[in-house]
Amino acid sequence: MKNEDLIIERVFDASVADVWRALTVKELMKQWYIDPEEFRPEVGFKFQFPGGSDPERPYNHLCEVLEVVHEQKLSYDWRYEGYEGRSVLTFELFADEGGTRVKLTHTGLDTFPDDNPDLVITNFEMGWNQLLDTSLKNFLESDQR
Amino acid sequence: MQMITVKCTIHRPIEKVWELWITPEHIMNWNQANDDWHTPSAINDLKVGGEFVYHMAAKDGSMAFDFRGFYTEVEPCELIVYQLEDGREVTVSMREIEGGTEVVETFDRDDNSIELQQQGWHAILNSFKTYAERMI
Repeated sequence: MKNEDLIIERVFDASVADVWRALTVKELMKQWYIDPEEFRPEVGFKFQFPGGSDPERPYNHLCEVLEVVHEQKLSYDWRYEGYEGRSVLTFELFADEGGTRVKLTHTGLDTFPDDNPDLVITNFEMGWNQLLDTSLKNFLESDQR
Repeated sequence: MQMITVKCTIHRPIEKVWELWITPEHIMNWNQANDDWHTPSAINDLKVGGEFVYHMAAKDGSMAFDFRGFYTEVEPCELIVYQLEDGREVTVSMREIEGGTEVVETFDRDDNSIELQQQGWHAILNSFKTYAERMI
């Protein structure tokens, strides 16, 4: 069994409350992240959203909220309709020198089919790095919010 | 002949970038300079001497042409060289860099201005980047 957990930490020039909102308010989530039909930070809440590059081969994400600690921790499972495997995505927030440190943990990536280049760990790693370094950073640190 | 270069960093692994670059089903999704155009069909016989034909068309039907040529060099995840119908040569090279893949296209200029060609090729490369970086 390979240990393929992905952990990425970044500090943002934004309050913990703002980062929490960016992660949990549907109208804000869709501006930088994903666009589910509905989202509620409640254990057991299920949501889905499309992904992937090719409209002919969509990766429909099936997620269920597993853990919520207000402004501290949000965890949901992350599966793909029609594909084997189940991963878990966790965001943890920490107040840090006037800003917020975000720790993203994605576990269970090794349960996805390893012959699919879309689902290899390096693809997730680059994807999450970009999402935090560019999308979330721009969203939180720009004045257009 | 004067050469023009456009380049771009794709924040994805090189194997994935290569696959999206060469597979007709994907090419049809990303090969466009703007939203008014699309590529309704693509044929790609990726080997030395093999031909490709990307049919590019304005969505309103006002214009269409085939972007076609044949390959003179193919090194998986590294290099593609092809010659266009009019004899111009195009080199596409890829290499792994920190956090992703760098794609560099070098091509002979045609009769249009360098700026115009650079813009057009860059727009398509950007469309590829957006496509490749969509979240899985």
